[in-house]
Formats: sequence, structure tokens, C-alpha cells
Amino acid sequence: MTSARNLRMLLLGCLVVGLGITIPLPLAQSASMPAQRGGTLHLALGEDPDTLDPHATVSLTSSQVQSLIYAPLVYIQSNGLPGPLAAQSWTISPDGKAVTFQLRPGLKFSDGTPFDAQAVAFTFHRHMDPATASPSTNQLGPLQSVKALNALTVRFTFKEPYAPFFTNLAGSYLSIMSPSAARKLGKGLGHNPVGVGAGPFVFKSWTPGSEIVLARNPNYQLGPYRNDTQNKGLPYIDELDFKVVPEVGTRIAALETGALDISALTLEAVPRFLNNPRFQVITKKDANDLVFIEFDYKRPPFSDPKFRTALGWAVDKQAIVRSAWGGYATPNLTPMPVGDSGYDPKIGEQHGIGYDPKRAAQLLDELGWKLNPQTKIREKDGHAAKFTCWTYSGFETVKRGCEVIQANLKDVGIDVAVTLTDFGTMSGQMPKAQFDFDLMRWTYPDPTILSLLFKTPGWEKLYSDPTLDVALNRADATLEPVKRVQYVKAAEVMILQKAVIIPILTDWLINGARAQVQGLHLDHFGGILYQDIWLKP
Amino acid sequence: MIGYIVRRILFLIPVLIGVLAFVFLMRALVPGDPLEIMFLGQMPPDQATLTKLRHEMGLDKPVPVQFVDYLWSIAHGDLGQSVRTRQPVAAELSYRYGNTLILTFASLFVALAVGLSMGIAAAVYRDTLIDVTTMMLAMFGLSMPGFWFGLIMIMLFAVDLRWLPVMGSGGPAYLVLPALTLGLIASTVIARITRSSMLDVLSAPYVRTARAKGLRERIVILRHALRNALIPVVTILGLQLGGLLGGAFIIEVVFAWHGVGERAIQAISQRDFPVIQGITLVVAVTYVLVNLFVDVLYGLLDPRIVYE
Repeated sequence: MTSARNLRMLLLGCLVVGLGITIPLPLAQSASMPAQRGGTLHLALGEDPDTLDPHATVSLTSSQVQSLIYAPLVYIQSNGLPGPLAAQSWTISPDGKAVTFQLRPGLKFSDGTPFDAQAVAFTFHRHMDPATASPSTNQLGPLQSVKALNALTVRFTFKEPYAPFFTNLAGSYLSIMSPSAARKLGKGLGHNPVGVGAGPFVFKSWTPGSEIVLARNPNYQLGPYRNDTQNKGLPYIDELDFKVVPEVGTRIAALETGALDISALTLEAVPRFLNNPRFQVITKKDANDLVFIEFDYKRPPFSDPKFRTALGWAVDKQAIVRSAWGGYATPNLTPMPVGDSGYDPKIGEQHGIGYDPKRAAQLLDELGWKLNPQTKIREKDGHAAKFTCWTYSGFETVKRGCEVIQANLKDVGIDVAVTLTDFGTMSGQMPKAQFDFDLMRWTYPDPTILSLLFKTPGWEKLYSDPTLDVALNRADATLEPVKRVQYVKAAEVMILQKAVIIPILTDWLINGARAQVQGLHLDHFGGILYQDIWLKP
Repeated sequence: MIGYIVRRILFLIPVLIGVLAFVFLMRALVPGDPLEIMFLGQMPPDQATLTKLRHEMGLDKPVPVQFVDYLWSIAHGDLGQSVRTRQPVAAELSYRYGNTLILTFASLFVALAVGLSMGIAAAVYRDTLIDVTTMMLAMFGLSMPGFWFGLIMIMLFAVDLRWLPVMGSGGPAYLVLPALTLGLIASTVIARITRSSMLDVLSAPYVRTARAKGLRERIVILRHALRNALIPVVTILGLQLGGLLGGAFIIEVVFAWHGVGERAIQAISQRDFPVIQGITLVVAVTYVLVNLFVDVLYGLLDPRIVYE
């Protein structure tokens, strides 16, 4: 769990601590002083990537490196909507089942071969080929075929319309590779991807288990086309040197000594870097994660939406932000991460379940859960309101969040025990429906996160609501962005009305960097835009 | 002596089969489908890919057949293939195993140097401040989690004093902190054993005789007393080495020392069974061989021990 990671795909929060950051300060500085070319940026990876073949991995660490080597057809702009990158435009057929991309003319891979419609078709055929046995084919959705119509036009045909495709397309797993390089490298592509991409950096070397070095792509052509970068030309930095450092405490210590230039920070480490002239701390508040309470929907009393609602009103979201996340989070009453398109705080204000312990107590009374004055615990039909909040190891913040919930619920007469387990055990137990509720954290950069979580049978394999399924399917099948957001919001309201989850917050990505590092900021997925970084001498 | 060693080596065969069976059962006994467990917490591949992977790993065969297959491939030096990297496990471990051995033996050196000095000092200056202090330190070290101690060492020597690099496996300087961390923790047990064993020996009549002969105290302690006091120390040395190998797992992660332990932690978190099995096997074999070596060492230290 660790360091800089692009959130390129569905991943449970427990696996993700993104690199954080954004903004104004470094960009403002870089505006006042001309950017300097050159230098090596010392960075860390939390583990040795399994492979740099985008079709052979689901690892976020691999994705983080791959996204620098390979270029995608589209990228996700800071507003969460797709923007043209290697493709300069696209058209969607009236039934939404075919998307035709027009590529930019004259693009080349780093091996000098043309980045054309043939290359796009080759890449997707390779991905879909059963012989590749790609673990990431679910990124393709109901994709049926990819066909090069002419040198610069390529058509994607789907069995049914699939809106999340654009976000997936912007990720490293669906980035485009050079057919000639891929054929030449064969199986070697995974560990020696030379000349295979068209991204801002090229692969230089990989010492297994130890470090990966990338160099500036001297022929990078896509600089002018991203509206989330300042630098419209070649990257300023000569080389990116990624060292494998599994332990986060060690990474932070290495940042302190200058052995690393940038590192994600734990909350505990932030004070050491804050107000220290040698460092800068940069946070990205519009992150793609959501922390929420979810339930065992198969068993009473949690099968009853009204009970779930009552429990929700008893939980003080601000207190969780304050005490569990040290203030480094945004309270979020909607089921959508703050950074995803479709997030709208108004939905939270109107339909969200805020903090009102009196209302919680009243609802519990109405449901027949009466306070036993002796035990100070509510009872119904001889059952005491004693429940367990599950949480998983590795995330101190989530565990502390559970403890705040425990205190909150005690105030309304519900006795909660906190159980800490490892994530594998927890998610393995979940479908067996033998728990009460848990505090969960998910990260996903597309509004289809709602489908991944709640569409029958839900990620826990315990939830099913046919009307919600219809609403989610409608959102997933609508490729027109404005309309899609509208449908997504409608689904969000349904989720809140049935208190499927109790949303609590979106936590921030926090990065520390040496003061010399200029122009540091993040893309929509939370990945660092290395092409904007330069080093102040 | 030779006969003894040959017999001990032959005895390794059933031990290794036991280890292999255990390592194999580790995967077979995990409840649920190993492949499903492998992809827990992330979007699993589609059914066709799972079937293919299951076939590649031989999981579609009956368990006894899988075991025979497993033994057969091990006999051919094939530890299988990592599910994640799709690289041969043997190749992945080959460049890491050396790193782990370097760290383990460097730590052993630290443990012996520090543990013996502390133990001897505590015994010779029994019931003085030196004795109390060293034994307190030993107690402290014994109860300290290695992980935490490693981070404290980093904060002190790398971040605050800037004497040593934080992490990595470059030159000898990179070895100092992890070896110290691991070695100092292991030295505590050695110090305590050395002390009590030295105390026994120092009160023995032959030591009194040596002193009565007018030998210098240094000679009495180091040549006469220590050699006998070392027997129990050597006994625990083999066991300690197992502890060091195990401790190296965590310490390697803390110091980004690229050994098998670091890989093991990664494999465990990804539930990459072939890698976990390969590392368990390699570490177990190392442990068994080291203990064989330690047994042989007895004879060299103490001529009274004769192997038949």
C-alpha cells in the first residue's frame, strides 16, 4: 500500500493510498521563474511492479509507471469528463453502441513507427486475445470489436452502450502500444518495454526488485493537447528514478533526507513537513475516494432502510473528519467521491443523512428499539442493540473512524464493538452475511463506482434493488456526458433515500516534496503530471 | 565424524519431504479457491482467464496428483511461476537470496560481537553497574519490535545524524543500519545466555586452578572459560539464525533491502502462492542446513563431543 499510484481502475480503498497534490503554490512559482530543463527526479514505488505490459497486470504500481510510457486515446480532464489526447475527436452512433475515433495525424511511437488506427486495433486485439489471458479485460466492458476504418479512423463497437469506457480508455491498461515494438519484444515487453509507447517518458532500465528508470521522450508530441498541464512541450526532467521502497515510514524518512524528491505522506508525518522551508506539502482535496458505512443487508435490523437511516443520523461525520483524519478530509454526504463527475454537494444537503442524534433516537423509538434505563442500551423483542463494526488492518484512519462511530452510537443507546481483521478475511466473509456493518473506503475515478458497489448483487454480494439497477444501467448506458451526470445524480438520490450506505467523507491525497520541486500537481486520477515538474537549482 | 555427517545429510531427506508436504499443503488447505483469494480486493479477471490460470497452475487436478506434480517439478529445480509477474520463481529468488544471506550473516556477526562482549562483561563484572546495565539493555532489546526499532534507527542515524543512507542496497554503507537493527536484537539473547553460561564456568574448579597458576585474567577468561561457556551459545546460534532469517523479512521491508523477505511480504499481500511456497522452501532448507553445520561445529569446539 503506498506511494504514488494512479487510480486507474477499480480498487478497494484498502489497496490505495494515492499520491496527493495539487496546486496553486508551485504553479504560481513556476510562472514567475522560467522552468529549468534537466535533472533526475528521485521517486519511490511501494512494490516492484509485476510487469509493464498493460495487458498482463491489474497492479496500480505498474499502472503508475505504464501511464508515463504509454499514451491513451483520451484523458480525463480536471472536471471529470474525457478530453481528446491521441484521438482528436470522436463521434457516438445514435444507439450508443459504436464510438468512432479520429486520430491526430503524424503521431509516432517512441520507436518511430506511426501511431495510427492499425496500432489502436492491434492493441485492442492483443488485449482481447484469449492467448494473452489478460486479467484486465473487464476494463473493456461489453466491447465487441475494434476496426481500423482508414489510417486515422478507428471504430469501437459494443454489445450495449458503455459509458465508463472513456474513463477506462484514459487509463494505462487501455493505452496504445506500437505493433512493431510489441511484436519484436514478444514476451519481453513486460520487462523491457522499449519503444513501445508514445507517452511523455520512455523506458530506460529496470533492475528487478530495486529500481526502474525512465527518461524524457525526446519526441513527445502530445504536450500541447492536455488542458491540465502547463508545459506544452517536452518534459523538463531528464530522468525519473523509481526506487522500490515498500515501507511508507522509510519513504518519508528518505524524503526528509533528500534521498527522495516526492513522497505521499501519512497523516502522522504531515506536521514534520508543514511549515518547514525545505519542503512543501500539497493536498488534492477533490480525490476519487469515498469512506462510508455499509451493512449486512440480509439480516435484521440492517435489512430495514429505516434502521440504517437512524444509525446514519447518529454518526457525526465532522467528528470523524476531525478526529480520525486529522482534518485532512472533506465531509461528504453523497455516495459519490468528491473528485468524480456526478458529485454534487447539493444532493447531500437535500437528501443526505447528516448528524442529528435526536432524530436518530426518535427513529429508533419509532422502530420499537426502547432504551433500557438500567443498561443504557436499547432493546427490542428481548434483543439488546449490540452490534459489531468491522474494519480492516492497514488503515489507521478507518480504524479510528470506527471508534468515533462507536462513541456516537453509544450516545443513542447502541453498543458497538470494533473488530479489526485483514481485508482478505473480511471480504471473504462478507457474502456469508454474518456481520452487522463496516466502515469501508473505495476509490474509483468514474461515476460507475455506484454500479460497482450497488448493482445487484453489490460488491458485498448482499444487496439487490431492481429499481436501483434500472437507474444505474441507464446511467452506464448513456454516453452523452451531461445526460449521464443527470442519471447518475438520480441514482445517488435513490441510494440515499434507501440509506444503502451512510456516506461520510472523501479523504485528501497528501504529498510532501522537497522545496526544489516545481510545478507539482496531479491529474484527475491522482497521478503526478511529471511533464510539468522541474527542479529549481 | 564423516559417517555422522553423511547420516545427518541422509536424515535431511525426510525432513525436506516434510517441509515440501507442509509447503504444498499450505496452499491446498487454504479455504476457498486459491485463485479467488489471489484476486480478492480487486477486480477479478473473467472466467476464461481464471480457468486458464487454474489450468496453468495445475489447480484443476486432484490434490494428490498436484502434490506429485509439485515434487516432480521441485526435483527439477522448478519452483513454479509467479501468478503476478509470470516470471519463474527460481529466477526471481536467485538474485534476492544472496542479499538475504548477506544481511543475515552480517547481522549474525553483529549479534555475536555485541552479544558475546555484553555477556562476558556482565558475567565478569557480576552484580556491578555494568552487569545491571547490560542486562537491562538486553531486556529492552528483547522486548522491542524489530519493525519499530528499525524505524527508530532510521530516524536517528539517517534522518537526524545523516551518517548513513536511509534505505536501498547499494554499497556496504547500506548494509550497516539493517544489520545493526537485526543484529542488536538478536544479540540480546546471546548476551543473556553467554552471561549465565560464563557464570557457571567461572565458578568451576578448573578456572580457579588456572587463576591459582597465576595466569593473567584475560587468558583465564578468554581461553579457559569462554571456550566452555560457548557450547550453549552455539546451540542457540542455529536457532537464532532462524530468527534472523525470519526477522530479516520485516527488516528488509523497512530498509528496502531487496532480499527474499521483501519479496515474501509482497507475495503474501498479493497471495501469490507459488512465490510464497518457493520462499518458504528456500528459507526452510537454509535453516536445516545451518543447523546441520552448527551440530558439526560442536565437535570442533569441544573435543569431548564425539560423533559416532
